[in-house]
Parts: sequence; C-alpha cells; structure tokens
Amino acid sequence: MIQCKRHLSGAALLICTALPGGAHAGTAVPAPVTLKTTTGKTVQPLQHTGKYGVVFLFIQHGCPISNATSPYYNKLCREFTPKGFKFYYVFVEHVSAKQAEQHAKAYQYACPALLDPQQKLVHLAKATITPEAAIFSPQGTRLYMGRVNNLFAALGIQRPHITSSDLRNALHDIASRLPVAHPVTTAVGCYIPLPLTGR
Amino acid sequence: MKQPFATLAAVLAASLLISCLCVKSSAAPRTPTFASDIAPIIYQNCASCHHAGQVAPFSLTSYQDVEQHAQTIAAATQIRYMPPWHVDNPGLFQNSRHLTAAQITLLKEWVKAGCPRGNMKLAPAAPHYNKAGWIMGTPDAVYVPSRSYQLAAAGSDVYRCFVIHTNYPTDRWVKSVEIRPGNYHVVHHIICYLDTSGAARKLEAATHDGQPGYISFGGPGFPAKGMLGGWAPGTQPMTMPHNVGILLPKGADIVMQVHYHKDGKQETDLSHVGLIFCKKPVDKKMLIMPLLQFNLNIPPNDPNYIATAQLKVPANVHLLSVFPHMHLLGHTMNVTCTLPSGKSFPLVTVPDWNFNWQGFYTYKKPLAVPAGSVLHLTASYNNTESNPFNPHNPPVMVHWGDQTTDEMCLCFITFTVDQQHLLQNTAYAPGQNTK
Ligand code: HEC
Repeated sequence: MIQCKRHLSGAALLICTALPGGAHAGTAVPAPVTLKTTTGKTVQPLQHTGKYGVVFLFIQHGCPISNATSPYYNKLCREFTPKGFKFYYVFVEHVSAKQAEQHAKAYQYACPALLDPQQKLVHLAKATITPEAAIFSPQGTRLYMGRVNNLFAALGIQRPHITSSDLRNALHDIASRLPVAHPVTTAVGCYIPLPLTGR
Repeated sequence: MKQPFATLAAVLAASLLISCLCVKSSAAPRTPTFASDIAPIIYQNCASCHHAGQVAPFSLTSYQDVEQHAQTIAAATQIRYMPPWHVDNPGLFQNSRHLTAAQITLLKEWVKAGCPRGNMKLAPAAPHYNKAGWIMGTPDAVYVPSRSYQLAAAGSDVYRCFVIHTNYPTDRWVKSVEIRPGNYHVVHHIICYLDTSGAARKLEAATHDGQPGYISFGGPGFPAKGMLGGWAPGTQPMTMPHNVGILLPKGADIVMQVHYHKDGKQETDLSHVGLIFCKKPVDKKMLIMPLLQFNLNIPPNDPNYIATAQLKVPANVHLLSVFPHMHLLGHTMNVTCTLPSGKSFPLVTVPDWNFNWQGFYTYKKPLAVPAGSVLHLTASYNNTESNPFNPHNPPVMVHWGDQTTDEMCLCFITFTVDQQHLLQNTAYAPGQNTK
C-alpha cells in the first residue's frame, strides 16, 4: 500500500484502491495500460520498465517541435537505455499504425513507438503538449513530467543553443538514485487535442 | 407592397426580442461558431499555407482540421506567431496577413467555448487550391544550384549560398521573379543576391565539404551587386510595375542564400528561381538603397540599445518595397519618412523582430517620396539573457558583422527614380532583352 500512496496520478490512485484485497503488498501496481506499438506488438509499458523506469515522449506527427526534438530524444535513448531505462515514443493522436510506422522510420526512431489514440498514457502522465516527456518508476510513480529541453522558448522562438537539458538531468538524477531536482517543467509545442472517441 | 415590409418588421421585432433575451440571460456577447466566425478567418488567413502539399505542417481546410489544432491555434495567434506577418502598418503592404485584435479574440473565445460548429449550412466553402505550379506564369529561365543540398537531421540552422552562373553575354531586364523552395520541410527563407565580381565563386571554391555552395550567415559574404528578391512562407512572386525592370548584369551569378531549419530527419533540397524577362524596353531600373547604421556597440545586458540611421532622398523617387534586417539581438525596427513639408508617415514598423521570418514587404502602390525627404530608421536591440535568441551566454559586447554572433542594422528599400528614362537613352537598345 505504501507503493500506492506514492502514485501522483489520480487515475493510478483509483486503480490502486480498487485492487482486490488479494494483491501482494509491495508488488508493483501501476495502472495496467495495454497499448500497441506501430509494428503491432502489444505491450504493457508501465509493467515492464527498465531497472530505473520507463520514459515516454508524447508526440504528434504533424507538430514541428515534436519532430525537431526526435534526434535529441534518440540520443538520450541510446545513452540511457543501457543504464536501465526503457524508452518509448507515444503517438497521442489518431494515426494508422502504418502511417505512424512510416513516420518512425523517417525520423529513425531509436526506440519503439506506441499508439495511444484513447490517450490512456496521456491521462496517466497528465500530458497536455507535444513534445512532452514523462518518466515513471518501475513502481509506476511519475518521477518527471515536462519539456525535453529548452530549445524552444515559445512557439516560433528557437534558441541558438540548448541551455537547459531538463530530461537528461532528470534521467541523470534517477540513475544516480537522487530525487529529481525539477520534477515538473513547462513544455512548448502543440496542445494535445481531446481523443476523437467520446466527442 | 405592404407584405415585405410587414415581414421585415416581424423579423426585426423577433431579432430585437432575441437580442433582448440574450442580454437578459447573460451580458456576454454571442458565442462565436465555426460556421459564422471561425471558418472565414481560417480560410482567408491560414489555409493558403495550411493545405496539403504547402509549406505549413498540417491542413486547416475543414472543421475537423481546425478543431484538432484548436488550442494551439489560439495560442499561436495570441502571441502573433501565426499567421506569419511581422510588420504592423495594416493597409500599407500587398498580401497583408494582419489579424485584427477582434479576430484573435474570436479564436480564443471559440476555443474556450469548446469549438462549437454552429449552423454548418452557413459556413463558407473550404477553399480549393490548384496543384502547385509557377504562380507568375511560365518562366523564361529557371535557375537551380548545380546539385541538391543534403541536410542533416539535427543541429543548428544552416545558411547556404549557392552560386548559379547565368552566363548571359549582355545585360538582361527581369520583370518577375518567383522563388520556389525545393523542400518545404526545411527551407525557412531564401534571398537571391547578384554577384559580378567573382567573389561568390571564390567562396565556393574555398569550401571543401563535398556539397554545393558555401556557408554564410548574415549577408552573402561579399558586397552584392544587387538583389533578385526573396522567399519566405507566403511570399508571392515579385513583379515590377509597368516599365520597370530589375537589371541582371551580363555574366552575373545569382547567389541563392537558403536558410535551412533542420526538422528532425535527413532531408535534401534543390530550390528554384524562375525569371520572366521584360518583353518590352524598360524605362526605369529598380534600385536598392540600404538605410543602415554600421556603428553598433551593443553593450552586454542592455535590454534596449537604440541605433538610428538617416538618409536624405536626393531625387524624386517611388518606393516599391522594404526589407528590414537585423540579426538575433534585434527587437524592433521603425522606418519613417519625413516630407520636406514636415509631414511624416511610416514606411515599415517591425514590432517584434524575428530573424527566422524575413523578407521583402511590397507596397500596395509605389510610394511617391519627393527630393529632400528624410528617411529615418530606429532599431532597438535586447542584449540580455532574457532574449532567447541571444547567441552569447552570458551576453557580450556586440558590433556590426556578418556572423550569427554579430549584429546588423539595415533596411533595404527598393525604388525607382522619377527622372530616370532609359527609353530616351541610347545606352539601352530595344529588343536587346527578348530571348
Ligand atoms: C504564410 C504561410 C502561413 C500562414 C498564412 C499561416 N501559417 Fe501557420 N504555419 C506556417 C508554417 C511554415 C508553420 C511551421 C512553423 C515552423 O516549422 O517553424 C506553421 C505552423 C503553425 C502552427 C503550429 C505551431 C508550431 O510551431 O507548433 C499553428 C497552430 C499554426 N501554424 C496556425 C496558423 C493559423 C491559425 C493561421 C491563420 C490565422 C496560420 N497558421 C497561417 C505557415 C503559415
């Protein structure tokens, strides 16, 4: 139950309290989100994390800032996967698996991409913008939420250099077993529209 | 004849009643709807770039499109990032894309209200666009760099100058110029300069990265002989007024400076410039005067360094277009004209300079400026850390120069001289510029 208290997300908390009494105390109980990758694989990304956790980058294929961020995210993925993290891209919109896979190939995604048309992960992470990154611990606690870096100061305002590497710093803190210094930052990009279903 | 009047009266009474009811139920104005308020704004001001195959990253040609991006649209218009139009002066320039404050408020209110459709039967039809071709008509000559340019997926922006040989044995007069980017995903803007000195060829020869052209951030890296215009998203072809031509000197090279903005994947580009030559003898040459201030000493941490420049106009002229230019510290630029009578009027006002969106702004009608008028330029610079574009961290003293880390203070003005009549001058033989 201690694990449950650490859940920041309201949705996750609900699921915790709704768990049957038989659940083993101390087992990881993140919200069992099941999603498909662009290649058709079914995954439960919060259940099968790396040693230190799992990283999501919420994206929309038509959002220029999302796309401009992918080479940088690919680098983080290559660097931190061996250190004990799992990385995913998350398409938050309604795109066909085929279109999403083409996009993933064009941008040479270095990690799998998930389709989240019902925005289950979006809600769990409380993402509102693309590109926005979230890190969850193996226990399902949200450790970081926000921008990847500060390359864009505002829509249309791109800095000559990145001067704040927020996601990298958070990954570094976690891998050093430190609390994340800035667990929430504000992202710049395209707002995530409501899912098409239920409108 | 009484019938229609009665009907009208009834309608008036009814609408009066409705508006009374509305006022009673809430003091707020009517909620904007897509059909009657939003579609007209979007279709007129956004769809020309936001449709399939065009420069913008997504289409805005249906309710679904607009609703999907509604919140970002509200945010982007609120900060006047969209539509891209970086000067004030409503009514002064051709193809103005200035949104009024009321239109921006409507967009915001509509999103706040949950994007209501309204009566879709009343919505204007979505605009229809023809397949992309040359807008100005078939060009007489099309120039392209010798090879495509390969752009990496990530990293800083690239300013590449491609040297294109024209090899005409005589001077030519250009009537229209249309610049067409080869790859909308990465081409941010293009400026075409002219070189007759061979300097651009030397710069290219000294570049050994296996790609065509050479790198130059600010200008083209040499004193240009002239300019053939520019392209930024939304730029229309440039066509000279009646009897006016742009001189393409014999043997000149076109130096096409392309600003590339990397988009996250490897890309290639081969941009084109199309020219239509004057079919009739030209009476006036398009000239360019730079209104500039070389003496820039912008101290670190100064949020509002002011630079000014002045120029007395020596002859009666007509101004055709302006091209404001600063680098990354530039914040505002204001160019005005004071007539000999003392009366002043604006030539261009840049309220919030953005280096990434520069180009020529063409006057609706050439502006008559008599001899003795004075052109004034006032520019302000923000050399603090609060300027996100500041290339120096921490800020340092910055002077005039060509590099990203230097500054400029410059407004090109294209014009013609009223007294110039090339047709009465034997220096120009009729028929010389027919192909
Ligand atoms: C002259 C062409 C042009 C017009 C007109 C235009 N846009 Fe854009 N728009 C663009 C381009 C180009 C981009 C991509 C910007 C980039 O990659 O830096 C863009 C991007 C956007 C974005 C995404 C912002 C981002 O960077 O994520 C929004 C939202 C948008 N436009 C809304 C609008 C709206 C609303 C209008 C009309 C009121 C409009 N645009 C008119 C060219 C245009």
